[in-house]
Amino acid sequence: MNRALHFIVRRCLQFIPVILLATLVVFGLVQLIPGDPAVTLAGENATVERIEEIRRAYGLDRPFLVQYGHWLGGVVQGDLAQSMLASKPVLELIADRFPATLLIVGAAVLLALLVGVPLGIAAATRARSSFDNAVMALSSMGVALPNFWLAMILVYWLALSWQWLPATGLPSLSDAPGKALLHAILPAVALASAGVAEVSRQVRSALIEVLASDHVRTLRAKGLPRWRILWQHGLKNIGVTLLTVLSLLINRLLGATVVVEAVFAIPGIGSLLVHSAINKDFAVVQGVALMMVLIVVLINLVTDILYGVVDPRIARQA
Amino acid sequence: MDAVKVTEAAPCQPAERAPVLSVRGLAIATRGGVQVTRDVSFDLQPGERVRVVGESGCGKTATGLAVLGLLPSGLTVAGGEVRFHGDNLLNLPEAALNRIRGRRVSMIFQEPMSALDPVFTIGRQLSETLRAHHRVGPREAKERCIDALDAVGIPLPRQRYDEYPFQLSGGMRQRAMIAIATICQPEVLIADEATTALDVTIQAQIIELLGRLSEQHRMALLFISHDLGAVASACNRLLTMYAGEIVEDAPLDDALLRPRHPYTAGLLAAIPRRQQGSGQAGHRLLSIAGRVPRPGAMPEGCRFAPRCVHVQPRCHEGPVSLLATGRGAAARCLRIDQLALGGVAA
Amino acid sequence: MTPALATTPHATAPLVRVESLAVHFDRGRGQPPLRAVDGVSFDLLPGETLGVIGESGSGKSTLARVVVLLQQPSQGRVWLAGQDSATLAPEALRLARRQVQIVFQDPRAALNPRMRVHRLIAEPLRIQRIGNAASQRDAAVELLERVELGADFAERYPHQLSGGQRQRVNIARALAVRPQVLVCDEVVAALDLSIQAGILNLFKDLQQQFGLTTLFITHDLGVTAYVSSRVAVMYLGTFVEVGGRDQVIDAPLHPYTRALLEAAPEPVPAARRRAHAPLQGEIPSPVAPPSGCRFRTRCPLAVDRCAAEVPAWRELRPGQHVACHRAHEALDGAPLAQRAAPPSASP
Repeated sequence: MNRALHFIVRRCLQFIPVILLATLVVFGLVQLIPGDPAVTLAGENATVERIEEIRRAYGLDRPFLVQYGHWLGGVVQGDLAQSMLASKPVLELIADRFPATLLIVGAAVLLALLVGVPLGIAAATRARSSFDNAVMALSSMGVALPNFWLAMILVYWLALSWQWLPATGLPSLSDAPGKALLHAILPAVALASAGVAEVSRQVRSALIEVLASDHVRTLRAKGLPRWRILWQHGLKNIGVTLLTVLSLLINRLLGATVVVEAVFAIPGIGSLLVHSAINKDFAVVQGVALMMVLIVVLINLVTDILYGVVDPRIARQA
Repeated sequence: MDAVKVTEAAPCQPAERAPVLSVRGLAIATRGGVQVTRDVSFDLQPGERVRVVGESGCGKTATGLAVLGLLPSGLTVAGGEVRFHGDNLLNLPEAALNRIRGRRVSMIFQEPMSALDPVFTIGRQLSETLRAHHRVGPREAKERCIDALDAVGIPLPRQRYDEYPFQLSGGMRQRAMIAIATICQPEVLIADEATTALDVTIQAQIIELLGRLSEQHRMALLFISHDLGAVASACNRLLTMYAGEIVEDAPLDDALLRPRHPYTAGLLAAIPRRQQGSGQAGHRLLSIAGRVPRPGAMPEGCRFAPRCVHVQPRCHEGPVSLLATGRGAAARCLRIDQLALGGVAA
Repeated sequence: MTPALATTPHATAPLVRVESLAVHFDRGRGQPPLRAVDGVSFDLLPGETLGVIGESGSGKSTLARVVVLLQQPSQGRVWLAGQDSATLAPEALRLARRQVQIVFQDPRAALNPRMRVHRLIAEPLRIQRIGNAASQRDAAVELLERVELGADFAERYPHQLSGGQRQRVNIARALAVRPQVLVCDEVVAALDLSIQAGILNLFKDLQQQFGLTTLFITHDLGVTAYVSSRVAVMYLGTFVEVGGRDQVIDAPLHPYTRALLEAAPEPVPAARRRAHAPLQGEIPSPVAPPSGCRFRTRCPLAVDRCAAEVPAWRELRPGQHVACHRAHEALDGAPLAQRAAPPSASP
């Protein structure tokens, strides 16, 4: 047990420099955006003095590292500064909109798992049959189709033409949970298409390898029934692959959500990010980018730790 | 096309009791139809220890796998039967076969590291075998498993129960495999190159363990190996395979001292020995000329004929059957009455 | 522990001299190193075949790599034809490599699958800049004849050869630069029995033809007995016994040598079979070898002194050295079991 704890602590410590570097990059990149934020804020017909006044007020004239330090200090205390446009704290903005993103991304991940894993298992146990080939072809397509294209197709047919599902928007989950779920279906499907494809491919190839391995031959020689070999031993042996695919998927969906939220007009952090970037509302952009980076880093950390749970060799041989 | 003649001499020991395993005319082929083994016939009496030897590609491993229906996807049984107490294992449905595997007929393999599931503990892999075949509660199962680990010579079994395969040495893993294979006290244990990957001193320990278990539980042993030298203990009878066929079936000492098939004699003469004068100038090991024929390109007549120093024209004419050589032994050679082959020195 | 040199002073100079060799592999982060070789000294005399026999963890493969200058020693020195390998400049080192060549265990892994046989064999000549393309090709064909393959193998690729044929190509390649010393690391372990016999026979012939001096590493006692003129038994990084072939094989003095001989597979009929209790215990890890005599954890003769004191390297018979406190008890040749004393209490 000692070694396992040691492993977890070490992994956590390793992420601190990663997070620091990430914050630096997030802060620095925003500075590279063309356009002078003070000019944007001051408005169309601002005078030079007004621009300078704004620049000083928001600390935009101070050196980069000072701005960074000031910002980081605020972040650590939970203060992500104010949105210049909405005049609300950035943190509050994000908190308002995060649940929507969480809903559709969460639904997409769940969909990818619930459809992708059984599909991959079915393909692996019928390897090289016509079923297997069909699954592989479908998954290739799923990976190749762009999310936004699929999203628009779905909106056109399922929402506008046949009126099965709502096209846009997402009511608050706390206010109208049933309606919210209904609104989440199409965006989740659009997000999940590539995910289903990826999950099923990875599960299939990892499982094929495991099923052909020596230890599965031993399991058969022990007289264990096929279902037990597949579901207990097979799945645990591909656990590492599954975890990897899952964490990569979540990370990718966080990026893809930007586009899908735009198509379906979902009030999530993806659309917030786009809107703020277009309008040069840097504080918000930094805040959202930072949040996304933290989520990704956290997911990687959790995945790393879970590796140790799923495959005993990893934790104990570290 | 092939004249498959199964002789009445195939059971090697005079059949006092019914054999526990009886293989008749077993033929294995690839899915593309290329023959891998043919006319494999032998009996295994209760508690008997038989070693199957041959070089790579002779089909001995495929034969062992076929008994339990474990052939890889590229191979299939093309004919013959494998009778276990009268039932043909090759015809059994999967569920019935699973009641025999691991419980009445077990198998252990060559590489204990890859043969054990790396993500489950030894104890878990042991108890799942026990509980798959017998109604045993978890606590009692654990105790019996710890006893089983102790019986195969694993020190600190209670601690090892919770360990993973990668935490054990090669010899310990093989012992764990043996524990898993014998925990339900099977009547037959097939060991496929089970000691090949181990060090010499550890190999001796494992062979001694298998012999002991075989005696204690009257468990028949089918020991598949390419190492002709390792027959010093734990073996009553020797089956030699070449190019997919059994070429000699004889009690161990007869096979060693007076082999009746030129291939067996050739193998024995190829073993570097350590007796006096072995390394001296002028003493040479016998290297059998030529190469094993490829599956699909087998000679018409005796398969060993192209390499045999005692070959005669009639050896090329047609396939040769196993012919009785007396005392329950047999050899696949037309000249058994004419040849006096040398074996190891008495 | 640095035993004294394993041989008495010679009339002829040794081709290879290894002195107090130790190879420790760093495992990082405050962990004790892996002591693959831990104090080995020996001489390799011209024309002899020294068979080194040992099991896993003995360090024999590491030793082989040090002798061909593929592995740097952590301590100790290696002399090749009188030159200390550590003092050689890169160019001199390259020339020194002509003197020692090695053949490895896996015949397939040692051959570049994209090169034809004649190029594979001639490659050392190209690297050492000996001759031109035409003479190199001729040399390759000649070597093919010597290893009993024949000129028509010259244009083939490795995947078109059998295991035994590939190993012959490896041997031909090793001999291309006409080395004085050949190191063979488990060269027949991956081969079938009858193929193995052919390679061993070939090896003996080549030894005579080329006047080779050989370091022959193996785990198989029968093979060692067949090819060696002298035998060294290695356990956990050190030699435990060294002597002439007949001395070590027929009259071993060290309990480990005796255990190896008893455990070694031999096709023996029942009448000649003797029941031996196999050696107990596992091979300890080279990371933490036992104190005192490394073999004591498995030795049936171990006593308290074995844990406390590293046994000295003694020449108990002319030309036969042993490191064992109780080896002298075996001088009259009585079997091991008779002298069994309770093993030392501490593991």
